[in-house]
Amino acid sequence: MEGLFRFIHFTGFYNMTPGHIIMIMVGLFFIYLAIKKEYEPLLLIPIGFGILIGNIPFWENIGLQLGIYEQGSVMNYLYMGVVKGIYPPLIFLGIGAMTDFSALLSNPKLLLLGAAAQVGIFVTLLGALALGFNPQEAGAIGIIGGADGPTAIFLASKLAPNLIGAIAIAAYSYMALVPLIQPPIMKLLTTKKERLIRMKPSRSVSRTEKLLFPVFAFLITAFISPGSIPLLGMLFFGNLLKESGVTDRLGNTARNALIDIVTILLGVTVGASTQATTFLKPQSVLIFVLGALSFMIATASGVLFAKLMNLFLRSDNKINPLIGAAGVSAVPDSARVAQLVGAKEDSTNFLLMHAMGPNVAGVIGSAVAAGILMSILMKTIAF
Amino acid sequence: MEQGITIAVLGVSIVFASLAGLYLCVKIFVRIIEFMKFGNVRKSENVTQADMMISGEVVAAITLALQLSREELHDMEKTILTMQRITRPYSPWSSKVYGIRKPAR
Repeated sequence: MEGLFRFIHFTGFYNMTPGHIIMIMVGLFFIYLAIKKEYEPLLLIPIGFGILIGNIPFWENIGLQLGIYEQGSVMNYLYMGVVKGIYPPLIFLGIGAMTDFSALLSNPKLLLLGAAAQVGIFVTLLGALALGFNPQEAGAIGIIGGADGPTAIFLASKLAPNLIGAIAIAAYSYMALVPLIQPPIMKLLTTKKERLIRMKPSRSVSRTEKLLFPVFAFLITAFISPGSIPLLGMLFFGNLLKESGVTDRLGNTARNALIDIVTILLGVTVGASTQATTFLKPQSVLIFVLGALSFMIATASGVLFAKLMNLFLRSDNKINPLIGAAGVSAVPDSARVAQLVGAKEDSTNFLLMHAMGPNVAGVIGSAVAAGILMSILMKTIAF
Repeated sequence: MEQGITIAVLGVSIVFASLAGLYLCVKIFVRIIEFMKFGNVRKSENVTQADMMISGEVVAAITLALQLSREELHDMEKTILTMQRITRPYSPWSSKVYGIRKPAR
Protein backbone atom coordinates (compact mmCIF):
# COMPACT_ATOMS: atom_id res chain seq x y z
CA MET A 1 0.00 0.00 0.00
CA GLU A 2 2.87 2.35 0.84
CA GLY A 3 4.31 1.67 -2.61
CA LEU A 4 1.03 2.73 -4.21
CA PHE A 5 1.02 5.98 -2.24
CA ARG A 6 4.61 6.65 -3.25
CA PHE A 7 3.66 6.04 -6.87
CA ILE A 8 0.70 8.43 -6.61
CA HIS A 9 2.95 11.06 -5.04
CA PHE A 10 5.30 10.64 -7.95
CA THR A 11 2.77 11.11 -10.74
CA GLY A 12 2.48 14.32 -12.72
CA PHE A 13 -1.17 14.68 -11.73
CA TYR A 14 -0.27 14.86 -8.03
CA ASN A 15 2.53 17.40 -8.50
CA MET A 16 0.71 19.55 -11.03
CA THR A 17 0.37 23.32 -10.45
CA PRO A 18 -1.48 25.96 -12.51
CA GLY A 19 1.94 27.15 -13.71
CA HIS A 20 2.68 23.78 -15.29
CA ILE A 21 -0.65 23.84 -17.12
CA ILE A 22 0.00 27.37 -18.41
CA MET A 23 3.44 26.38 -19.69
CA ILE A 24 2.11 23.21 -21.33
CA MET A 25 -0.48 25.38 -23.09
CA VAL A 26 2.33 27.70 -24.26
CA GLY A 27 4.26 24.69 -25.59
CA LEU A 28 1.19 23.42 -27.45
CA PHE A 29 0.62 26.92 -28.84
CA PHE A 30 4.19 27.01 -30.19
CA ILE A 31 3.70 23.63 -31.85
CA TYR A 32 0.43 24.88 -33.32
CA LEU A 33 2.10 28.03 -34.69
CA ALA A 34 4.89 25.94 -36.20
CA ILE A 35 2.66 23.39 -37.91
CA LYS A 36 -0.46 25.37 -38.78
CA LYS A 37 1.03 28.82 -39.46
CA GLU A 38 4.51 27.60 -40.40
CA TYR A 39 6.18 30.28 -38.23
CA GLU A 40 9.83 29.17 -37.92
CA PRO A 41 8.89 25.48 -37.58
CA LEU A 42 12.51 24.35 -37.31
CA LEU A 43 12.77 26.31 -34.08
CA LEU A 44 9.28 26.35 -32.67
CA ILE A 45 8.74 22.59 -32.85
CA PRO A 46 11.87 21.74 -30.80
CA ILE A 47 11.22 24.63 -28.40
CA GLY A 48 7.51 23.83 -28.10
CA PHE A 49 8.15 20.17 -27.39
CA GLY A 50 11.00 21.13 -25.05
CA ILE A 51 8.49 23.22 -23.07
CA LEU A 52 6.30 20.10 -22.74
CA ILE A 53 9.30 18.06 -21.59
CA GLY A 54 10.35 20.68 -19.07
CA ASN A 55 6.89 21.13 -17.61
CA ILE A 56 5.80 17.63 -16.81
CA PRO A 57 5.46 17.92 -13.04
CA PHE A 58 7.31 15.38 -10.92
CA TRP A 59 8.59 14.93 -7.41
CA GLU A 60 11.68 17.09 -7.52
CA ASN A 61 14.94 16.80 -5.59
CA ILE A 62 14.61 13.22 -4.39
CA GLY A 63 17.66 12.08 -6.29
CA LEU A 64 15.95 10.77 -9.42
CA GLN A 65 17.91 13.19 -11.61
CA LEU A 66 15.09 13.95 -14.04
CA GLY A 67 14.73 17.72 -14.25
CA ILE A 68 16.84 19.97 -16.42
CA TYR A 69 18.07 21.84 -13.36
CA GLU A 70 18.95 18.65 -11.42
CA GLN A 71 22.65 17.89 -11.42
CA GLY A 72 23.48 14.71 -13.31
CA SER A 73 20.26 14.37 -15.32
CA VAL A 74 20.48 13.75 -19.06
CA MET A 75 18.66 17.01 -19.77
CA ASN A 76 21.05 18.81 -17.46
CA TYR A 77 24.03 17.52 -19.43
CA LEU A 78 22.45 18.62 -22.71
CA TYR A 79 21.59 21.99 -21.15
CA MET A 80 25.28 22.54 -20.42
CA GLY A 81 25.68 23.34 -24.13
CA VAL A 82 23.41 26.34 -23.55
CA VAL A 83 24.73 27.38 -20.14
CA LYS A 84 28.36 27.19 -21.22
CA GLY A 85 27.65 28.90 -24.53
CA ILE A 86 28.72 25.91 -26.67
CA TYR A 87 25.73 25.63 -29.01
CA PRO A 88 25.54 29.23 -30.31
CA PRO A 89 29.03 29.27 -31.91
CA LEU A 90 28.30 25.89 -33.52
CA ILE A 91 25.08 27.31 -34.96
CA PHE A 92 27.11 30.26 -36.26
CA LEU A 93 29.48 27.82 -37.96
CA GLY A 94 26.53 26.38 -39.86
CA ILE A 95 25.12 29.83 -40.64
CA GLY A 96 28.51 30.89 -42.00
CA ALA A 97 28.67 27.78 -44.19
CA MET A 98 25.30 28.60 -45.73
CA THR A 99 25.66 32.39 -46.03
CA ASP A 100 26.50 34.03 -49.30
CA PHE A 101 28.02 37.45 -48.68
CA SER A 102 27.80 38.41 -52.38
CA ALA A 103 24.87 40.77 -51.83
CA LEU A 104 26.84 42.60 -49.18
CA LEU A 105 30.10 42.65 -51.14
CA SER A 106 28.41 44.00 -54.25
CA ASN A 107 27.06 46.96 -52.28
CA PRO A 108 29.18 47.29 -49.12
CA LYS A 109 27.53 50.49 -47.89
CA LEU A 110 24.65 48.26 -46.80
CA LEU A 111 26.90 47.21 -43.91
CA LEU A 112 25.93 50.48 -42.24
CA LEU A 113 22.27 49.43 -42.19
CA GLY A 114 23.31 46.35 -40.24
CA ALA A 115 24.97 48.66 -37.73
CA ALA A 116 22.00 51.04 -37.51
CA ALA A 117 19.58 48.28 -36.60
CA GLN A 118 21.64 47.49 -33.51
CA VAL A 119 20.53 50.77 -31.92
CA GLY A 120 17.54 48.85 -30.55
CA ILE A 121 19.86 46.75 -28.39
CA PHE A 122 21.32 49.72 -26.59
CA VAL A 123 18.05 51.64 -26.22
CA THR A 124 16.50 48.55 -24.63
CA LEU A 125 19.48 48.26 -22.32
CA LEU A 126 18.57 51.71 -21.00
CA GLY A 127 14.91 50.70 -20.69
CA ALA A 128 15.82 47.58 -18.74
CA LEU A 129 18.06 49.59 -16.41
CA ALA A 130 15.21 52.04 -15.82
CA LEU A 131 12.93 49.12 -14.90
CA GLY A 132 15.35 47.96 -12.23
CA PHE A 133 17.28 45.16 -13.90
CA ASN A 134 20.96 45.05 -13.05
CA PRO A 135 23.43 46.06 -15.82
CA GLN A 136 24.29 42.47 -16.78
CA GLU A 137 20.62 41.48 -17.03
CA ALA A 138 19.85 44.69 -18.95
CA GLY A 139 22.58 43.88 -21.49
CA ALA A 140 21.30 40.34 -21.93
CA ILE A 141 17.72 41.57 -22.41
CA GLY A 142 18.80 44.30 -24.86
CA ILE A 143 20.40 41.78 -27.19
CA ILE A 144 16.92 40.41 -28.02
CA GLY A 145 16.74 43.42 -30.38
CA GLY A 146 19.59 41.87 -32.34
CA ALA A 147 16.97 39.33 -33.49
CA ASP A 148 19.57 36.63 -33.40
CA GLY A 149 18.66 33.65 -31.21
CA PRO A 150 22.15 32.14 -30.85
CA THR A 151 23.69 35.54 -30.04
CA ALA A 152 20.99 36.21 -27.44
CA ILE A 153 21.57 32.83 -25.80
CA PHE A 154 25.34 33.26 -25.92
CA LEU A 155 25.26 36.66 -24.23
CA ALA A 156 22.61 35.63 -21.71
CA SER A 157 24.71 32.59 -20.75
CA LYS A 158 27.62 34.91 -19.97
CA LEU A 159 25.82 37.85 -18.37
CA ALA A 160 22.57 36.56 -16.89
CA PRO A 161 22.32 32.74 -16.84
CA ASN A 162 19.22 33.01 -14.65
CA LEU A 163 17.32 34.66 -17.53
CA ILE A 164 18.42 32.38 -20.39
CA GLY A 165 15.03 30.66 -20.71
CA ALA A 166 12.99 33.86 -20.90
CA ILE A 167 15.47 35.64 -23.19
CA ALA A 168 15.77 32.69 -25.57
CA ILE A 169 12.02 32.20 -25.78
CA ALA A 170 11.47 35.93 -26.32
CA ALA A 171 14.19 36.14 -29.00
CA TYR A 172 12.96 33.13 -30.94
CA SER A 173 9.30 34.10 -30.57
CA TYR A 174 9.92 37.55 -31.99
CA MET A 175 12.07 36.09 -34.77
CA ALA A 176 9.15 33.87 -35.68
CA LEU A 177 6.83 36.87 -35.57
CA VAL A 178 8.97 39.03 -37.90
CA PRO A 179 6.28 38.93 -40.63
CA LEU A 180 3.77 40.39 -38.16
CA ILE A 181 5.93 42.88 -36.25
CA GLN A 182 7.93 44.55 -39.00
CA PRO A 183 5.51 45.50 -41.84
CA PRO A 184 3.42 48.06 -39.88
CA ILE A 185 6.59 49.85 -38.70
CA MET A 186 8.07 49.78 -42.20
CA LYS A 187 4.92 51.23 -43.72
CA LEU A 188 4.55 53.83 -41.00
CA LEU A 189 8.06 55.21 -41.50
CA THR A 190 8.16 55.26 -45.31
CA THR A 191 6.20 57.02 -48.02
CA LYS A 192 4.75 55.19 -51.02
CA LYS A 193 7.34 56.90 -53.23
CA GLU A 194 10.16 55.57 -51.06
CA ARG A 195 8.75 52.06 -51.10
CA LEU A 196 8.76 52.18 -54.90
CA ILE A 197 12.47 53.00 -55.18
CA ARG A 198 14.23 50.59 -57.53
CA MET A 199 17.78 49.83 -56.59
CA LYS A 200 20.64 49.41 -59.03
CA PRO A 201 21.28 45.79 -60.01
CA SER A 202 24.06 44.19 -57.99
CA ARG A 203 27.47 43.88 -59.60
CA SER A 204 28.97 40.43 -59.93
CA VAL A 205 31.38 39.54 -57.13
CA SER A 206 34.64 37.78 -57.92
CA ARG A 207 35.80 34.61 -56.17
CA THR A 208 38.83 36.44 -54.79
CA GLU A 209 36.56 38.91 -52.98
CA LYS A 210 34.48 36.08 -51.54
CA LEU A 211 37.63 34.32 -50.35
CA LEU A 212 39.22 37.37 -48.80
CA PHE A 213 36.09 38.68 -47.07
CA PRO A 214 35.73 36.08 -44.28
CA VAL A 215 39.40 36.30 -43.39
CA PHE A 216 39.70 40.06 -43.28
CA ALA A 217 36.22 40.67 -41.89
CA PHE A 218 37.06 38.39 -38.98
CA LEU A 219 40.39 40.06 -38.33
CA ILE A 220 38.88 43.56 -38.35
CA THR A 221 35.80 42.84 -36.24
CA ALA A 222 37.59 40.57 -33.78
CA PHE A 223 40.38 43.08 -33.20
CA ILE A 224 37.79 45.76 -32.44
CA SER A 225 35.53 43.56 -30.35
CA PRO A 226 37.36 40.45 -29.06
CA GLY A 227 34.27 39.45 -27.07
CA SER A 228 32.67 38.38 -30.33
CA ILE A 229 35.47 35.94 -31.24
CA PRO A 230 33.47 32.73 -30.51
CA LEU A 231 30.56 33.86 -32.67
CA LEU A 232 32.29 35.73 -35.48
CA GLY A 233 35.21 33.29 -35.55
CA MET A 234 32.86 30.40 -36.23
CA LEU A 235 30.69 32.44 -38.62
CA PHE A 236 33.59 33.45 -40.85
CA PHE A 237 35.30 30.07 -40.50
CA GLY A 238 32.11 28.42 -41.75
CA ASN A 239 31.98 30.89 -44.63
CA LEU A 240 35.56 30.14 -45.59
CA LEU A 241 34.72 26.42 -45.65
CA LYS A 242 31.98 27.28 -48.14
CA GLU A 243 33.92 29.69 -50.32
CA SER A 244 37.33 28.02 -50.37
CA GLY A 245 36.07 25.41 -52.83
CA VAL A 246 38.40 22.77 -51.41
CA THR A 247 36.49 21.86 -48.24
CA ASP A 248 33.11 20.95 -49.66
CA ARG A 249 32.70 17.99 -47.32
CA LEU A 250 33.31 20.09 -44.22
CA GLY A 251 31.10 22.90 -45.50
CA ASN A 252 28.30 20.46 -46.26
CA THR A 253 28.49 18.92 -42.81
CA ALA A 254 28.50 22.34 -41.13
CA ARG A 255 25.48 23.65 -43.03
CA ASN A 256 23.45 20.44 -42.91
CA ALA A 257 24.09 17.73 -40.33
CA LEU A 258 25.90 19.78 -37.70
CA ILE A 259 23.54 22.76 -37.62
CA ASP A 260 20.54 20.42 -37.59
CA ILE A 261 21.86 18.45 -34.63
CA VAL A 262 22.73 21.57 -32.68
CA THR A 263 19.39 23.21 -33.52
CA ILE A 264 17.56 20.17 -32.16
CA LEU A 265 19.59 20.13 -28.93
CA LEU A 266 19.40 23.91 -28.50
CA GLY A 267 15.67 24.09 -29.17
CA VAL A 268 14.71 21.23 -26.89
CA THR A 269 16.91 22.29 -23.99
CA VAL A 270 15.93 25.96 -24.20
CA GLY A 271 12.29 24.88 -24.25
CA ALA A 272 12.81 22.51 -21.33
CA SER A 273 14.55 25.25 -19.35
CA THR A 274 11.24 27.08 -19.06
CA GLN A 275 10.09 25.05 -16.06
CA ALA A 276 7.08 26.78 -14.58
CA THR A 277 8.76 27.05 -11.18
CA THR A 278 11.65 29.10 -12.57
CA PHE A 279 10.06 30.71 -15.65
CA LEU A 280 6.70 32.06 -14.56
CA LYS A 281 7.74 35.25 -12.82
CA PRO A 282 6.82 38.91 -13.36
CA GLN A 283 10.41 39.34 -14.58
CA SER A 284 9.68 37.11 -17.59
CA VAL A 285 6.72 39.28 -18.62
CA LEU A 286 8.93 42.39 -18.44
CA ILE A 287 11.56 40.64 -20.59
CA PHE A 288 8.92 39.88 -23.21
CA VAL A 289 7.72 43.50 -23.24
CA LEU A 290 11.28 44.87 -23.45
CA GLY A 291 12.13 42.32 -26.15
CA ALA A 292 9.22 43.45 -28.31
CA LEU A 293 10.24 47.07 -27.79
CA SER A 294 13.82 46.27 -28.70
CA PHE A 295 12.72 44.56 -31.89
CA MET A 296 10.53 47.49 -32.92
CA ILE A 297 13.24 50.08 -32.24
CA ALA A 298 15.76 48.00 -34.21
CA THR A 299 13.40 47.82 -37.20
CA ALA A 300 12.64 51.54 -37.03
CA SER A 301 16.28 52.56 -36.71
CA GLY A 302 17.24 50.45 -39.74
CA VAL A 303 14.53 52.04 -41.88
CA LEU A 304 15.28 55.57 -40.67
CA PHE A 305 19.02 55.17 -41.25
CA ALA A 306 18.36 54.05 -44.83
CA LYS A 307 16.35 57.25 -45.31
CA LEU A 308 19.22 59.24 -43.83
CA MET A 309 21.69 57.58 -46.20
CA ASN A 310 19.46 58.49 -49.14
CA LEU A 311 20.01 62.17 -48.35
CA PHE A 312 23.66 61.75 -49.28
CA LEU A 313 23.30 59.39 -52.24
CA ARG A 314 22.93 60.25 -55.92
CA SER A 315 19.39 60.02 -57.31
CA ASP A 316 20.29 56.99 -59.46
CA ASN A 317 21.85 55.17 -56.52
CA LYS A 318 19.17 55.48 -53.82
CA ILE A 319 18.41 52.76 -51.30
CA ASN A 320 14.87 51.49 -50.83
CA PRO A 321 14.40 52.19 -47.09
CA LEU A 322 12.41 48.96 -46.68
CA ILE A 323 15.65 46.98 -46.78
CA GLY A 324 16.83 48.89 -43.69
CA ALA A 325 14.45 46.73 -41.65
CA ALA A 326 16.42 43.66 -42.73
CA GLY A 327 19.35 44.97 -40.69
CA VAL A 328 17.85 43.37 -37.60
CA SER A 329 19.37 40.04 -38.61
CA ALA A 330 16.70 37.28 -38.37
CA VAL A 331 18.12 35.73 -41.53
CA PRO A 332 16.40 35.38 -43.97
CA ASP A 333 12.95 36.26 -42.66
CA SER A 334 13.41 40.00 -42.37
CA ALA A 335 14.87 40.14 -45.91
CA ARG A 336 11.83 38.22 -47.11
CA VAL A 337 9.55 40.70 -45.32
CA ALA A 338 11.30 43.61 -47.10
CA GLN A 339 10.71 41.83 -50.42
CA LEU A 340 7.04 41.18 -49.61
CA VAL A 341 6.28 44.72 -48.46
CA GLY A 342 8.08 46.12 -51.52
CA ALA A 343 6.26 43.72 -53.85
CA LYS A 344 2.89 44.90 -52.50
CA GLU A 345 3.64 48.35 -53.93
CA ASP A 346 5.29 47.13 -57.12
CA SER A 347 5.30 43.43 -57.93
CA THR A 348 8.18 43.85 -60.40
CA ASN A 349 10.52 45.42 -57.85
CA PHE A 350 12.73 42.65 -56.46
CA LEU A 351 14.30 43.72 -53.19
CA LEU A 352 15.23 40.31 -51.81
CA MET A 353 18.85 40.23 -52.98
CA HIS A 354 19.41 43.83 -51.89
CA ALA A 355 17.85 43.09 -48.49
CA MET A 356 20.16 40.14 -47.95
CA GLY A 357 23.05 42.65 -47.67
CA PRO A 358 21.85 44.39 -44.49
CA ASN A 359 20.48 41.08 -43.30
CA VAL A 360 23.89 39.38 -43.11
CA ALA A 361 25.43 42.67 -41.95
CA GLY A 362 22.93 42.50 -39.07
CA VAL A 363 24.31 39.10 -38.07
CA ILE A 364 27.81 40.58 -37.92
CA GLY A 365 26.54 43.72 -36.16
CA SER A 366 24.62 41.86 -33.46
CA ALA A 367 27.61 39.61 -32.76
CA VAL A 368 29.86 42.68 -32.46
CA ALA A 369 27.30 44.31 -30.14
CA ALA A 370 27.21 41.15 -28.01
CA GLY A 371 31.00 41.19 -27.80
CA ILE A 372 30.98 44.84 -26.73
CA LEU A 373 28.33 44.27 -24.06
CA MET A 374 30.23 41.24 -22.79
CA SER A 375 33.52 43.05 -22.56
CA ILE A 376 31.98 46.05 -20.78
CA LEU A 377 29.49 44.32 -18.50
CA MET A 378 31.41 41.21 -17.48
CA LYS A 379 33.46 43.48 -15.24
CA THR A 380 31.82 44.80 -12.12
CA ILE A 381 30.53 48.27 -12.81
CA ALA A 382 28.81 50.35 -10.19
CA PHE A 383 25.75 52.10 -11.57
CA MET B 1 21.89 55.34 -15.26
CA GLU B 2 24.43 57.87 -16.50
CA GLN B 3 26.93 55.10 -16.98
CA GLY B 4 24.20 53.16 -18.78
CA ILE B 5 23.89 56.01 -21.26
CA THR B 6 27.67 56.02 -21.64
CA ILE B 7 27.62 52.28 -22.40
CA ALA B 8 24.82 52.76 -24.94
CA VAL B 9 26.59 55.61 -26.75
CA LEU B 10 29.91 53.77 -26.64
CA GLY B 11 28.32 50.53 -27.83
CA VAL B 12 26.51 52.12 -30.78
CA SER B 13 29.68 54.00 -31.74
CA ILE B 14 31.84 50.87 -31.66
CA VAL B 15 29.32 48.84 -33.70
CA PHE B 16 29.22 51.62 -36.29
CA ALA B 17 33.00 51.98 -36.24
CA SER B 18 33.62 48.28 -36.80
CA LEU B 19 31.10 47.95 -39.63
CA ALA B 20 32.23 51.24 -41.17
CA GLY B 21 35.81 49.94 -40.97
CA LEU B 22 34.70 46.77 -42.69
CA TYR B 23 32.95 48.87 -45.36
CA LEU B 24 36.11 50.85 -46.04
CA CYS B 25 38.21 47.69 -46.22
CA VAL B 26 35.82 46.06 -48.69
CA LYS B 27 35.86 49.23 -50.80
CA ILE B 28 39.65 49.32 -50.82
CA PHE B 29 39.95 45.61 -51.60
CA VAL B 30 37.47 45.89 -54.46
CA ARG B 31 39.48 48.80 -55.89
CA ILE B 32 42.73 46.83 -55.60
CA ILE B 33 41.22 43.71 -57.17
CA GLU B 34 39.66 45.73 -60.00
CA PHE B 35 42.95 47.48 -60.60
CA MET B 36 44.83 44.17 -60.70
CA LYS B 37 42.26 42.71 -63.10
CA PHE B 38 41.42 45.58 -65.37
CA GLY B 39 44.03 48.22 -64.64
CA ASN B 40 46.11 47.59 -67.74
CA VAL B 41 43.07 47.27 -69.98
CA ARG B 42 41.71 50.57 -68.81
CA LYS B 43 45.01 52.35 -69.27
CA SER B 44 45.47 51.12 -72.80
CA GLU B 45 41.90 51.49 -74.01
CA ASN B 46 40.65 54.25 -71.72
CA VAL B 47 37.74 52.12 -70.48
CA THR B 48 35.54 53.43 -67.64
CA GLN B 49 34.16 51.34 -64.79
CA ALA B 50 30.67 51.60 -66.27
CA ASP B 51 31.98 49.97 -69.45
CA MET B 52 33.39 47.04 -67.47
CA MET B 53 30.09 46.33 -65.69
CA ILE B 54 27.44 44.10 -67.19
CA SER B 55 23.93 45.19 -66.33
CA GLY B 56 21.46 42.87 -64.66
CA GLU B 57 19.27 42.80 -67.77
CA VAL B 58 22.18 41.62 -69.92
CA VAL B 59 23.05 38.91 -67.39
CA ALA B 60 19.40 37.79 -67.33
CA ALA B 61 19.29 37.69 -71.15
CA ILE B 62 22.48 35.62 -71.35
CA THR B 63 21.19 33.24 -68.69
CA LEU B 64 17.90 32.80 -70.51
CA ALA B 65 19.67 32.21 -73.83
CA LEU B 66 21.93 29.59 -72.27
CA GLN B 67 18.97 27.88 -70.62
CA LEU B 68 17.03 27.78 -73.88
CA SER B 69 20.09 26.55 -75.73
CA ARG B 70 20.59 23.72 -73.27
CA GLU B 71 16.95 22.72 -73.51
CA GLU B 72 17.29 22.58 -77.30
CA LEU B 73 20.07 20.03 -77.12
CA HIS B 74 17.71 17.08 -76.76
CA ASP B 75 19.44 15.09 -79.51
CA MET B 76 22.60 15.04 -77.48
CA GLU B 77 20.91 13.80 -74.37
CA LYS B 78 21.71 10.12 -74.87
CA THR B 79 24.39 8.65 -77.02
CA ILE B 80 23.74 5.08 -75.93
CA LEU B 81 21.29 3.08 -78.02
CA THR B 82 18.72 1.37 -75.97
CA MET B 83 18.05 -2.05 -77.47
CA GLN B 84 15.85 -3.99 -75.18
CA ARG B 85 16.07 -7.73 -75.12
CA ILE B 86 12.67 -9.23 -75.58
CA THR B 87 12.12 -12.81 -74.56
CA ARG B 88 9.91 -14.44 -77.11
CA PRO B 89 9.52 -18.19 -76.80
CA TYR B 90 8.63 -18.83 -80.40
CA SER B 91 9.22 -17.20 -83.76
CA PRO B 92 8.82 -18.90 -87.13
CA TRP B 93 11.82 -16.97 -88.45
CA SER B 94 14.23 -18.84 -86.28
CA SER B 95 12.30 -22.04 -85.95
CA LYS B 96 14.32 -25.21 -86.21
CA VAL B 97 11.13 -27.02 -87.13
CA TYR B 98 10.93 -25.15 -90.43
CA GLY B 99 14.68 -24.90 -90.90
CA ILE B 100 15.87 -28.48 -90.39
CA ARG B 101 13.12 -31.06 -90.03
CA LYS B 102 11.07 -29.83 -92.98
CA PRO B 103 13.49 -28.86 -95.72
CA ALA B 104 12.03 -26.97 -98.65
CA ARG B 105 11.15 -29.13 -101.60
